[in-house]
Amino acid sequence: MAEVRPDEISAILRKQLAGFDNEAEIYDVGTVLQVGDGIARVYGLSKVMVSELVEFPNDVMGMVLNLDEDSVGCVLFGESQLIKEGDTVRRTKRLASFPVGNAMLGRVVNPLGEPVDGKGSIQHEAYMPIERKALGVVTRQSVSEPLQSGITAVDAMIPIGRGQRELIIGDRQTGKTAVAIDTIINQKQTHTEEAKENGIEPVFCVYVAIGQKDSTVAQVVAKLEEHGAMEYTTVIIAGASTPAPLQYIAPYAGATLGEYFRDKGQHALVVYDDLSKQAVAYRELSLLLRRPPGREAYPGDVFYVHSRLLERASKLNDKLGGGSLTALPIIETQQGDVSAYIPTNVISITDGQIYLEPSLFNAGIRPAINVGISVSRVGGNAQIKAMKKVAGSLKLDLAQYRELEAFAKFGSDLDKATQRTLSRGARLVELLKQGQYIPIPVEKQVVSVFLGTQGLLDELPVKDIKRFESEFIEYLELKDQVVLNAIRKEKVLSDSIVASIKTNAQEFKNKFKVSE
Amino acid sequence: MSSFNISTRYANAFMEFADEKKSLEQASKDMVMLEKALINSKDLKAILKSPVINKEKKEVIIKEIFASKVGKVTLEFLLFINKKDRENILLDIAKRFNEIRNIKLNRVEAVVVSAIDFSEEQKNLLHKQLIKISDKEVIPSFITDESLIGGFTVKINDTVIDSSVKQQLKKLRKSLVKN
Repeated sequence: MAEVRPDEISAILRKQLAGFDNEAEIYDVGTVLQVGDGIARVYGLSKVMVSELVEFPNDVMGMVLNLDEDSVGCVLFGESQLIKEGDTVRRTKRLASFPVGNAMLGRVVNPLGEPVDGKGSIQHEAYMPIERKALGVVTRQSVSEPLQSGITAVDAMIPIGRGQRELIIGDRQTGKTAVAIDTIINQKQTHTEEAKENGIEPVFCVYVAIGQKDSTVAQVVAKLEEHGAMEYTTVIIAGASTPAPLQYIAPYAGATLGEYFRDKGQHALVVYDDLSKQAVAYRELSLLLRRPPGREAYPGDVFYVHSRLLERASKLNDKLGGGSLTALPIIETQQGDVSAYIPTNVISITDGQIYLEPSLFNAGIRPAINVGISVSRVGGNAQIKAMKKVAGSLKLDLAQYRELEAFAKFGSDLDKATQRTLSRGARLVELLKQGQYIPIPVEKQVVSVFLGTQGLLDELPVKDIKRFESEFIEYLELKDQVVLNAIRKEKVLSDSIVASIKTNAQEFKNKFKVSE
Repeated sequence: MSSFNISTRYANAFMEFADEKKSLEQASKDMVMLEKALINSKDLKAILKSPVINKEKKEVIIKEIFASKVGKVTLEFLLFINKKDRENILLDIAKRFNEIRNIKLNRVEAVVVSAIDFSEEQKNLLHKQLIKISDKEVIPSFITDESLIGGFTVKINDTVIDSSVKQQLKKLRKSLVKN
């Protein structure tokens, strides 16, 4: 075994200390006047900036939120028990910021960028302020590329484009997080060699968990790891037990990391799960800072809290590299009440919403998306041509089905046309059901939606639809690779492809055994 | 209104009043003395703050303590404040008065903390340097604190110039932990 020589150790120590300068330091200080409930009022700190980080004793950090005439209001990112009246507070001259860089991928960090996954320190590239002004009009362009969620119902009818802000809203236990996680998992295909050949650029993901149980987040991380999605994902966690100020800044930290990728000309997806909890955290610290309460006791600027966050989602113009930052905020409603304060605010800010309903969820329609009231205001431009072609009649068929759904119980008493609409609708609803963690690539989505809207499934019993769909696609993959490859590469549905799908479907239907 | 606003208003008013009566110098000295007295005497502070002791009694107390020590104008001001029920923020008023006076005269207070006592010569040298740095008239006060281990710190307003060994060790520890 090699020996460790003392002179070697001192040489290394000396080298480490070489960069250490022992000049006098100049810094600004203040004194704690009052502390409690995660808030400290500080006297002094005369030149401090809003949202600057300040240093308290015992390694507790704080952020300045209120500048009053004779004192400064700070929120604490650590235990307030560690701080006493009369303690010295130091300025850091650094705005609250978040470390960025590719090294952040695959990690679980807190909103200050400190790792919490036990995998050691992160070699970040730089610190960027968490509060950045959203980009102006001239730097942007309209959304033009699709962000495939891998969920057929979403990609066909509520398409999301890169740079869009799409709200996921619904009651508790309706699968809001599932939609977001599936979307993250589906981005795996954008990181493959094949996607590169097809001109699809990779999407880097950030999952911001605000006010959730740590166990729930651990499960999400485990799922992402299981599907190989952590390689391109950063999880920012501000759990239910973290102080409200950290929960409040977590989404901004996520946006900063997303902007890092966007500004490099790459693509980022940021999921804020969920913003209602962030609003509650902000309400808590606003009330403690004695800001006047407004509706539902939220402070007056709670709209601005969300609007400035979501405005940071953007698609840059080509001169700036054409990068994008897509935002998927999540809002939890109480008893389906979308007219509460925070839901209406966020609905008005975003470019559309995916509405999840408990009644659909309990009826076994999962993902429980109510396609009637879910919209995407800009995503349509981003859909691939093939999907746009088949999805048009899907929306129409489903709308007609919903209108006549109430008559379904009359069964055979109805006229032929109504019966046809009803049976078509029931098959389409069945077709849009999809399991969790099984995102479907867009070419397969196109084929299955095509089957449904062209009436190729009309003769099959409803309970066999899903089996037929999956077996047919498997059959197509084995027998006629050309079809799927063509849709994937050309992104259009040419006449020859249409004919080929039709003949294959007919052939397969003859072999398909309907279950008893 | 916050007590900060109120004390600023009273301090400014008193300054103008004293200037009119041509006794600003005396008043300034009195206020410095008053601030010190209030900080050092807990009893006096408690009595002034107490709502149980009535105005008349407080007036007698103020007269007895300060009549022989402060100028006529200052005493008048103290009694006026007592009459206006603002005696509880007397310390704030005195503090603000001294602050505003210092700003007007381009003067700052500096607190020098050192591990060992400075010699007179060192004090003078440091004083000259501080005047040079701050570009203001500096009123230094010297304190010894052995916990600094070595070196000294100077605090002018909110800014600290720190060349103590304690601070350097702290910094060293941080840089080692980081790597």
